[in-house]
Amino acid sequence: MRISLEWLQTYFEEPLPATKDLANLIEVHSFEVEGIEGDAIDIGVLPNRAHDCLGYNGIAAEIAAITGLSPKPPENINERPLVNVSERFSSKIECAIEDSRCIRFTAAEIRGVSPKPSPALWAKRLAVHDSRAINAVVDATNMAMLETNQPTHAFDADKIQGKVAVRGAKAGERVVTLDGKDIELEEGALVIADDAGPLDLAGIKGGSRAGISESTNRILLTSCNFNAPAIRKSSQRHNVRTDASKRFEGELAPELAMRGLESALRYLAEGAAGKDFSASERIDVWPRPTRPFRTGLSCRECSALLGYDVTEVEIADKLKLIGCEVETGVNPQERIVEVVIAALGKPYVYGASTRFDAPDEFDCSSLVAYACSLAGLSSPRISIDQFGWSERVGADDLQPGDLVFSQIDGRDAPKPPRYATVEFLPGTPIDQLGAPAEMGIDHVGIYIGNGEVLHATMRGGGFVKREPLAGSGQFKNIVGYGRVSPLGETRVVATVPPERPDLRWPEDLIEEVGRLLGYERVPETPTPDWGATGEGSAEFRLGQAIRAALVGAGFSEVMTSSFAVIGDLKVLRPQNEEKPFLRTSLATGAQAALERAALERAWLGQDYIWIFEIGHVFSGEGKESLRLLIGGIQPADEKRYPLRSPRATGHGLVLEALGEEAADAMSEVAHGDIEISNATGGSFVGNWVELSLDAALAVPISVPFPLPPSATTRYQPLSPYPYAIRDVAVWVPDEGGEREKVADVIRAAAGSLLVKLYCFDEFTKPGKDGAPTHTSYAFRLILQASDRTLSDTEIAAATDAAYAALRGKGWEIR
Amino acid sequence: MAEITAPKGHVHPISRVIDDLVKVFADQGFSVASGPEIEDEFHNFDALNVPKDHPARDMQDTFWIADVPKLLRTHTSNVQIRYMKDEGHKPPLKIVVPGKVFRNETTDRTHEVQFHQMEGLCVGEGISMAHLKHALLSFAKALWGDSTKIQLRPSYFPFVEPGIELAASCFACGGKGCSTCKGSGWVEILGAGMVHPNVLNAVGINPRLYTGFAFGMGVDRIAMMKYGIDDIRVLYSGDLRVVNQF
Repeated sequence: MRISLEWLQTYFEEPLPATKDLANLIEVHSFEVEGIEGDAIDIGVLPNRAHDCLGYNGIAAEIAAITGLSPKPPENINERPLVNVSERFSSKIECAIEDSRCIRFTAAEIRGVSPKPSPALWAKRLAVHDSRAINAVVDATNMAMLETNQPTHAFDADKIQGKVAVRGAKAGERVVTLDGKDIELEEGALVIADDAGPLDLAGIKGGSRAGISESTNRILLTSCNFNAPAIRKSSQRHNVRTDASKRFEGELAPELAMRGLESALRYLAEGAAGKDFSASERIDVWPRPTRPFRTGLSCRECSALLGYDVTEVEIADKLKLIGCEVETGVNPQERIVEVVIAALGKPYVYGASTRFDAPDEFDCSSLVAYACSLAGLSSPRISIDQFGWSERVGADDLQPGDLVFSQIDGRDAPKPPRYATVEFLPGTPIDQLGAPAEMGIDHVGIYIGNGEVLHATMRGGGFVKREPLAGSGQFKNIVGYGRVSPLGETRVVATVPPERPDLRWPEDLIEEVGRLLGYERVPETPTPDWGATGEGSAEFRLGQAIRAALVGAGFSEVMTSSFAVIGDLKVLRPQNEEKPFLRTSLATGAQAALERAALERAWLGQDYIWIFEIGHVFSGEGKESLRLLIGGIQPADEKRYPLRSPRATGHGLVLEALGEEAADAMSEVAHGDIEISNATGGSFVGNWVELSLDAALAVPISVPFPLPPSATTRYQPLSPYPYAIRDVAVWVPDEGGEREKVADVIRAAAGSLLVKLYCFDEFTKPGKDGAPTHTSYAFRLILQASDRTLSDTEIAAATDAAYAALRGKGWEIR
Repeated sequence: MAEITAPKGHVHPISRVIDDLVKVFADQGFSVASGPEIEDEFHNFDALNVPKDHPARDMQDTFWIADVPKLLRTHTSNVQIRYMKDEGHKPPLKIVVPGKVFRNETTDRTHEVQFHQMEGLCVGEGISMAHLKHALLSFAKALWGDSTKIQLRPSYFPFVEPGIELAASCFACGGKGCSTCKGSGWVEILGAGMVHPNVLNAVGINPRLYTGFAFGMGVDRIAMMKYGIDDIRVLYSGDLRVVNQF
């Protein structure tokens, strides 16, 4: 996302650092910088920051945190007063949420708007975001989105019929979007609708029926919050992706809805005000408002994860910089007791939510979870999980702030006792967590000292009560006690700013502290020894053993595609429509590789071409198998090229290398003979065998099997253009063994078009009649260009140069 | 005619790079784990804290298999889950997991539907980012020489928190700036971080008692950087003109 530095600067009194320095800070502390283009920095906002950093308010907060620059007070940002547009009248437009996937609906009716051309500054800023200015009404909503990260939408109020509702689309309903696309809506897709039908694809794109036109005078401005997965699904199913949908998918905080609305109103007042411009009272439908989220961490946890000592002061500083309200030095046990005492008398409601219902109503375990969160601890939600999560303490060791777990097992209990954990180390039997065997947990309370327990119970009126532990009817059968945090260890408690729903766990806070302090502060410590020997898995060792055995004897390893033309298992949406199946064997890939090799034999400079592949194949209902394929070809002329069997040779080598036990465990799946006749006039024969290695995985194989060293440190890219083959043989007055000397002469003369050079024959003859011994060297030259097909002239020029150089040495060309 | 060209075998460059990488980490006590290429949603996503219907799933385009609730693994992290949960290995543990992985993306010079990854995992009492940094620095020096410098930069993956990206001083210019590093002096190498408590929890390891680090790298990318291979697709073409250069 490109960030306009001009716009960003308006958030700060002091000048921003030099662009290059700013980019560096962003890269070290926040996000990848993809480039700097003029007045804009292009940053790669991470997927878990789409909810705040795709808008300038969020980016400015982030920049403030990493530069130490103080942001201007909100009322001075953008040099525009942060005064909400006043509420002049009550709108008669009825609005309702009819689907819980719309979490919040805010709106205002505005009269006297004028869709005139936008101020130049808006057009300039929109352009940085590849957005064109349309008219001041539409542009105001886009500016507000860029500023607050909250998409807002304006409907022409005179085109709205009746009541406005957010609901799921009915089967067969359609909407024509602003860009003229007629979309058939999937049943249940979220829409904002009036009595006549859908007005938009909610959270994604506006419809044209109530779109803004030149004559628009009265608008309904809406700013909603939606369930993120619902928008994502809708966007995918209807194949429409917009700047708005991208933001909703990132899970915006519902608090942003009103901020976005007010921001759009200010922009409208500034740029789209016509005669008698006035805004209505705000409409705000928010059935389940969220409450502040609290979590926390301790110095010990932070230092232990980052690997160096961090103080509470440093932690608090950094968390404040990102907008948290911070309390340091909190004693968790004391805090828990304070919180639960303050909850006395509150009603018991089974299944009460810690985020939406606390502190107004509780059940036994939500009271614990809520109190823990205010103490900066992230506890599980269910009582048996809280048991697993907390540390066992003895009855005589009980301290205020410890948890007490029991089994009530009453006839009217909302749920039977549990005997194994649900979400914490799922499925762990309770007796593995320090509970007496055969006891289950269905109740939890908090010990507050002086022999008293405090708990939320449905008994005796159904509210949070305190009573002596010894006499309590719900604590007759105590399963155990749990300590939530080491005694004496204080915690930093943070109230997370609503626009950061990514901060939910202590580890999320530790990451904020760590990245803002800078990861260069992390030292380097070797991992502990633990006596580990660095063993290979069975599959790895088997593979290395096979490679060493075969490569040493002339087999080359190929890796072919796991996708095939036929097979048992098919993938949905394959990239290659012709190969939608998963391979059931390695043979087809090997055949193709050998056919290719046959065509390229001159290039390869080998008469016997032997290959192998180790790979997974797939059959039936997801059955996976490890296979080894060995195969090879040779020229068909058996008189010139003695017949050899690659499968016999290879199979034999592998059996020898792996040992008898493994050999017995390798079974043959299939074998075959090969015959290839290809366009270059070559005829080849060969054979192959495919072996199953599955049973061999169980056989111990000793390591190490060193691989022969690599022939090169640099790859020579292949040209897609055809190559020419030229042979030259030359007599050299020597005893033999000097092919490299001759090769050097040819290389130097032929130039860069010579991509491969082989000596394919060498024999020495004693001289006749007193002439010195001389040797014939026969070379194959492969000539090729990387960017074109060579002309005959170019080929001739290269070979002539080679001949000339050889003759220049006094050697006779044969 | 004398058979001058006696057959000479060649290890596939991917196997060679995996071998090199395994050695680097074996020296630090890491064992090798392997696992299946076909996987289910639990091992490939849910246990790794990748929520359903979440943009995080978009970070990896998946090949789903018709008629069975399975997919082609998008990373070798599935094996880490199997190692800890199904095979019941308890901390302390250190493993690397090389293997073939699959992503449903358009192929081009740097993208193939199948390629190789190597992931690493270390879980134990008191494991911290300092251990991660040391492991990655040793790896970078083993590959590019003792004067290599590293930088840990903030990043995001659902299965680690903090999440980081490793940048190494450019092996082509030593950090001065060139076309390989686009003038920055640094090259991004891999993603890593501290294992998310939800992941440890999902495999039955108590996150209040144990912490861990994990990293994941594209083997093909490392091979392409090391050998100057210009097109990832040649590695799976079965073309011996490629393999036989090594």
